[in-house]
Amino acid sequence: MGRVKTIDRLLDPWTVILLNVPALVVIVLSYIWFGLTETAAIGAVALNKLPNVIITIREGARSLSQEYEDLATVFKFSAINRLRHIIIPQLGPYIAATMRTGLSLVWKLVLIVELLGRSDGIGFQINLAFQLFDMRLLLAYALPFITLMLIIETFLVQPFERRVSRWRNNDA
Amino acid sequence: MLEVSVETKSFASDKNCSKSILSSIHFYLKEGEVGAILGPSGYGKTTLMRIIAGLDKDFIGNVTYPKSWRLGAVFQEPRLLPWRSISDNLKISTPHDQQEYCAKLLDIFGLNKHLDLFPGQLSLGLARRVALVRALAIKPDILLLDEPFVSLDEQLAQELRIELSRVIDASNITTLLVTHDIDEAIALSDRLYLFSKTIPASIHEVIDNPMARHALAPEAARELKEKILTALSKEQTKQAN
Repeated sequence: MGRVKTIDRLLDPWTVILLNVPALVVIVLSYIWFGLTETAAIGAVALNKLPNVIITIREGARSLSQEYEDLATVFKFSAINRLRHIIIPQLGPYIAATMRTGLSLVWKLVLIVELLGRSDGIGFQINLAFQLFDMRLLLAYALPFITLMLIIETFLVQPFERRVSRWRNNDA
Repeated sequence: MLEVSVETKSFASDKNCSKSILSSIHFYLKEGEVGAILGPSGYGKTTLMRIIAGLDKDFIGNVTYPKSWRLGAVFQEPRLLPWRSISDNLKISTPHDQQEYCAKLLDIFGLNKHLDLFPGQLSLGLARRVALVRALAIKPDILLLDEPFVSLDEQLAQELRIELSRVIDASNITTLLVTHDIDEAIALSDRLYLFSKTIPASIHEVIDNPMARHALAPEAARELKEKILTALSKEQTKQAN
């Protein structure tokens, strides 16, 4: 997608549909079809996030430089070299962006999924805290969640982003 | 032998309209010959290069050369991968069995000290040298040079022309140079194809240069330049009438 117009035309409506179906509908449908299982929960979260990933990476694919593509053609780059040295480095910032937004969205979705159909997990515990009106338990569950996200952002996403864009800081 | 025959090359300009920018361009280069396409900017020289490089197939005509021939190109801008170091840029495009030859070229073009840098850290002159080495390292049978020394100071351009001439002659590379610089065309090419200042552009005169890539006596060089300038102005007068 983003490179071949026919594929764009074929998959665009499906992406728009998936993007606009409410998360709750996907989650409930997933539970009805596949039962109250962990697989159904993971599948529902993945299906909710997928269109955002597709759209971000598609924008990246649309902005791929024709000049480097020409270079690869003239110098007869193999398909692997083309992917490794021409396409992925240009998609790097888009991958980092989708990782960041994806992680935050996925965590939130997991809580709703757990709240709706699971008998364990943080979502379930938050629901329990809500029913017991236990503010301390609610905040106690929210805090490690935020801390974990900060750790992932600082030690995983940011180093990845720095690595894929390190050449940008080297202008003569 | 490289044979180029472009009957027409058009670009879609409007919904149902197309604008022809190249017409009736026919020439050939024997093995080891250097040809120069000389003409003003904006008249389709780079488009012709793209056609010969196989990057533009939407034209009427054909470009033929032996299937076993390898093609190397230097684009108008160095076009190095900014996210890879100089050493990686060269490694990616150079076949394994030519790495030794690549190291030799790096030595000739004085690039050994800069291998660990990223393209963004190089001056334009150094980046152009890397682009030249990248094209030469694949041991091309055909070398396409699109304004390879444009916007370099004259002294550096001159040095690079001399080095390039040596490599072209030593390896017997069939070369096509596109330039608007008459002195550069005289210094490097065996034959000059003068592009018309019309749209669609075509070749309006071919001038042989028997002294290419040798120290041309100042008198002979001046005479040749006069001849080219006369041909160019004759063409301009023809256009005006």
